[in-house]
Amino acid sequence: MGERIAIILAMGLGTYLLRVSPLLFAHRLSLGPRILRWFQFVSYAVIASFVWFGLTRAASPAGTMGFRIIALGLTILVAVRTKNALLGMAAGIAAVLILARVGS
Amino acid sequence: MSASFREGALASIPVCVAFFAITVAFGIAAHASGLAAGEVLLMSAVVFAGPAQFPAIELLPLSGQAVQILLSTLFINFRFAVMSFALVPHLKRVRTGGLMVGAQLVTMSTFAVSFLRFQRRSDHDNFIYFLGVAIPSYACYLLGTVVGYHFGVRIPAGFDEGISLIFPAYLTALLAAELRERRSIVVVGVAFLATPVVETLVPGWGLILNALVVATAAIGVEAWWESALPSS
Repeated sequence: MGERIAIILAMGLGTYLLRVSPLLFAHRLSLGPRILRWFQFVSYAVIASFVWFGLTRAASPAGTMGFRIIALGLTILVAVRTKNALLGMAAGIAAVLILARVGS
Repeated sequence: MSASFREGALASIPVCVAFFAITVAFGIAAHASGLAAGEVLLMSAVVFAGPAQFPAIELLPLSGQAVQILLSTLFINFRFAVMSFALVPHLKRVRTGGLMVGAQLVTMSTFAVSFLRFQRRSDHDNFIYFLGVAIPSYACYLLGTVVGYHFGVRIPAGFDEGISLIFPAYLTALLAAELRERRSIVVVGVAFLATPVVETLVPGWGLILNALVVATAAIGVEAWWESALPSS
């Protein structure tokens, strides 16, 4: 039990240092527009990568991947049309639930 | 409660829904792994990063896995350093103590919501807005962990597919609702399509490396394009 707690605390400390170091040591740097633009692109790219990660990480039957892609398509459509992320998410989740029921 | 905090708290509702669903799943898996309730809640509180916590609950019950757990946690969570760097220009006026507290609350989702808002409107209340997003999200994260561990053992099988889609659907909806600039949309599309390739080439590092490569390439293309325009 003690060893596990120590490992969990070390996980937390390591993660915290990754989070806090840039905030503490870089916030006084004067960054040029090109660097800021790069950070912006990195951030969008990380989010996009996580969409892929989230889309593929769940251990689903192979056939449901098509449903998930269709559901994400609907998510995009609803979110773009309504400019509301929550509605887009709800539409996507409802779609995948319906498709999974219909397809099973 | 300030207007910026309230605005952030409202924007955190989808994050809360996603975090609650994700951590209910985490709590269920942690219970199944034989971890104690205190260990599971402590992990959610101090790590606050689902992608690092799921592998850890598989390895923690085994002996001699400390180094592997810690290294995988650092590799997986390296993205937080990139996110914190991206937040730096928007949090310049925040005192060190505030940054030290706020840093713990930087996650993929709290970052994404805050960063996209800062792109639209960045002002002196940025940090308050960030806290408005992050504090309710953190509370939902902990609550979901407790609920999953104690009460969520039986989830109807038909809902698994919907629950597993919450995380990607949320991020997709966020990008779709916020992104308007064509070049940024191209960056998002290329990054999405390139991720499986880079992840296959560099397993475990693909997400971050892909983002760095795509962003650098985009900056290079943009600089070339802008320099080429006058002569064309």
